[in-house]
Amino acid sequence: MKKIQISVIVTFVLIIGSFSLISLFANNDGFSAFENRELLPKPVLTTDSYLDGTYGKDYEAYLLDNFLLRNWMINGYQAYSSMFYLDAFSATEEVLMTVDIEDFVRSTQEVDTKSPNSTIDENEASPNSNTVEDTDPTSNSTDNTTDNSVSNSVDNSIDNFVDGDISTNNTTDADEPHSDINEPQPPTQTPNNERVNDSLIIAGDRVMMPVGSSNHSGFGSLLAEISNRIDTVDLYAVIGPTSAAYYASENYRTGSYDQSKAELNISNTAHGVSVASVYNELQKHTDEYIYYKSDVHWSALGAYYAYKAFCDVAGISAANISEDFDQYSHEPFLGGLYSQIYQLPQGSRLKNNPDRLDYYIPKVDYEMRIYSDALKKETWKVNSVINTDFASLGAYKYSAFAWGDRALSKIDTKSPSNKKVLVIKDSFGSAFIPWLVPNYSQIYIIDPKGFNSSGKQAYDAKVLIQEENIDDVIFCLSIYGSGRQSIINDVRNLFLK
Amino acid sequence: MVFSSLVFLLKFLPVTIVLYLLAPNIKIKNIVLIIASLFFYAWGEPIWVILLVFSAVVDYICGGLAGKYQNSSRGKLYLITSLVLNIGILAIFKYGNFIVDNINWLLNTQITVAEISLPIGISFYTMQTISYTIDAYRGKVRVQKSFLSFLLYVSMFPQLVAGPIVRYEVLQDQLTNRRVTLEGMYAGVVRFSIGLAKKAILANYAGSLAIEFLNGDLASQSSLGIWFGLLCFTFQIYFDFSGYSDMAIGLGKMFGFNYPENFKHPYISQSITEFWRRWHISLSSFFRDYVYIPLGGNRRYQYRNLLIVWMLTGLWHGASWNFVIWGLYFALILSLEKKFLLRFLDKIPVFLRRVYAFVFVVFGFNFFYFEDFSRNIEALKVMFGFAGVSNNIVEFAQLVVNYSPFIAICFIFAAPTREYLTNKIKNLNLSPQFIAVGASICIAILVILSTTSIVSNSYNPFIYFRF
Repeated sequence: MKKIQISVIVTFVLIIGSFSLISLFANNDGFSAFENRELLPKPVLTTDSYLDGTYGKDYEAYLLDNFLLRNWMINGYQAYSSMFYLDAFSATEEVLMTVDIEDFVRSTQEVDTKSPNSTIDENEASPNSNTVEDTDPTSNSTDNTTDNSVSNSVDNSIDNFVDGDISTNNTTDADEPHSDINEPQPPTQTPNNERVNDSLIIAGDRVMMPVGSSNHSGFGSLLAEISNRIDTVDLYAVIGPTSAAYYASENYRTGSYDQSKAELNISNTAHGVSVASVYNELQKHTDEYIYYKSDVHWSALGAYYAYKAFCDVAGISAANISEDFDQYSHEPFLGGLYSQIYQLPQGSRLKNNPDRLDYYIPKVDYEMRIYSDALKKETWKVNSVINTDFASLGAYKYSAFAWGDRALSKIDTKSPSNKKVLVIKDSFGSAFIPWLVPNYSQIYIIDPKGFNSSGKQAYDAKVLIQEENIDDVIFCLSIYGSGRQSIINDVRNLFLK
Repeated sequence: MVFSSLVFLLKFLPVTIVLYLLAPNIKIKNIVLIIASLFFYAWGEPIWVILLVFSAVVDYICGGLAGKYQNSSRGKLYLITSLVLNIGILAIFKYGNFIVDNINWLLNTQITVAEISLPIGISFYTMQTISYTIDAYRGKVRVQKSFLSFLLYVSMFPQLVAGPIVRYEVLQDQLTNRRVTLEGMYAGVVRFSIGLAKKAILANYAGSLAIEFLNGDLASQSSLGIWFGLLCFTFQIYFDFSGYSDMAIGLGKMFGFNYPENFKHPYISQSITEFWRRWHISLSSFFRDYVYIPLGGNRRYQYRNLLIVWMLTGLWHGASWNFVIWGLYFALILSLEKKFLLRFLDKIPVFLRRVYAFVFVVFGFNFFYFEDFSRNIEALKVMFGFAGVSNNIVEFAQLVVNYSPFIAICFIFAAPTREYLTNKIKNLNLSPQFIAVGASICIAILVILSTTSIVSNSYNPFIYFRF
């Protein structure tokens, strides 16, 4: 009996002792790519923080966040907890996972202001140590997951297309006076509407986000105002649905908002603006890989069909996907929605059947510059319209497209076209950008979240349009983002303030 | 601080155990435990240490004097002083807002009081100090002369914030006369590891399921979905609370204490009467001995006594009417069982008796889970098909099939499976080396999986923490 007792006690002491020792060495990374957030710093012990109890809570949170074996343990937990679940109906089951969607979309707030390579200080020339050879996909294998040091710039804004926390008016969707009341109601209201709005939909090995209350009429009216104010350019709206519009069952396809009506709602009020028929174009290609299963965004191919819809409405000929672009792939890819549900039993379906992130590099020569701000104090030249340092992007590899959500960037191309375009975009627009390269000589890209709000630089996009003689302005946003009051406010401030 | 946290597991516990073992004698060991306990208690809300120490001082003095003048009117005065102060503290810090809200509602007044956060563990240590003073007055325990020993009894971290409610009479000798033994340390490690696994693995997982089914829009939930959610909550609260009691008992053993059992597999009960003999035993026995019996027990006004005791039991769990209803719900069933139901139950098969008790327990948790009365009613409507929501049998069948491994594990761990297996293994006459390796592997698995779960689930609340 004594042997048993000693053996058990020693085992316990060894394990707790080892973990205890490990806990002394914090994870130095400081960032969780998986969760797309900074890890909590060590709290400072002060009399106040101790007395009000915050030090104790913060220290526990710090320990959990920075535990050296954290990622290993998260994977381990997922592995063993998946045994609690039979997953016998993975092909047919469709479930809702209740989440705080607002919190989810707010989880990453800011446009990325960091240098693509923080060690390199730019001014022009060599924006990052990433040599042309390093980043030029044509000289790489198809999987450019590499180690090139381009960017520590994990784009903190993967889901920024739905970001809503930096509204200058401090108006939230909740207190928005006319949010969605002008919108026609979806034809099929299900009893689950409320719940769908607060949920992610898991169907088989696909996770989807529905779209809740939206104010697309308001967005359309804003575009009409902009059109009235700026008569020197052609305005276009390219609005991207979420995958729930096509792949969720009838029960869950609409929360309180039917995505198929968004373009109509916008064009009803957006006088003077051409609205591309993205919804219908994507509808024709639902059997293709136009949406990720584990990420909230459309794929590059989905964005290509949106680009084609844009070309149709703009009367320009669309570039050929195979002739004008080189295709590459990065896999496996588990996107941002996966990191929301990885602890659910259904998470293993995605993990066992991950996505593939295809990207297309324009064959025409171009140069892309990312600016730190509107004054272009710092400029980083990058060698590709795609950030191929996938290893640095964690779960948010979608932000590889156009280097994620940057306040201001520019692409100069050797396209025979002499037209210039300004793209106002959220993260959905990122995958749209590369397709424009063959059609424009200059592409300016602005994320409206990057300007005019608290702590941000004031900026008037009209000045850019005049100074640079912009021909077209494209508003490429998600249905979710374009219907949110905070984004509408940001766009308004960018043009009409 | 809670046991299922990294601060406790990887920092506090190792340091405390080492210091405790290094302490040369019982006096120093007690001082180590007091300092550790006050540090433990002060970790989250240091301010309330003052209240804890004040409570200890009050009952050290009142209990001492009530013991000195036991069974006399003078002694009764000290007893009443203690009760008034203790119950007054509870009334202010736990029930203050509840009382004011009800006064405002009844008299249509607008009285406002400052929002006070509930001091952790106040319901547990107040019960302990009251039990000391009452027992001292009754002459059931010796008066504790040493304030440090009494402070140790009140503040001891293993049972401080979540029980079990350990009466002074159980510990009075152990406070100054106990030994750390290999056997005790072994039993403590095993018990603690099991409790940790119950809490960190099973309770947290069951809790996430309960939230999924019960926290959303109830009107869009099917009745079977709500029943399933309540089933998950039933397991969550059991593994949560009994896991914490296991950890407390295990920690006690590591330091040489023997705490009473608080749970004895309540979900195998064959009646609600039996359920309450197996569930939160230290609380129900407290109310039995200090409220029910003094009121007359079974001898006079039995049903009135039942009503009072169960109303108090409900109220003890939280300052909200839903808890009172939960208590009265059990008062009703217990009354019916006493009246005739137990005699009827005796005549039906054991399996059906267990189903009966379990279903009524699960249903009862509806009153416990939803503090908001309107949600409570809404859930009841949906559960019994009055909300106009149809059940999708196929969806429910999928749910049950998919979660069947977890539900099966819950039933297995809620039943006395460990005791059964231990007996079986004993009868196999296996070599000690073999058992040592097997037992060590089991402990390693439990601790590693539990830590993994804790790290993975940063949000790791403990349900009973605030009661």
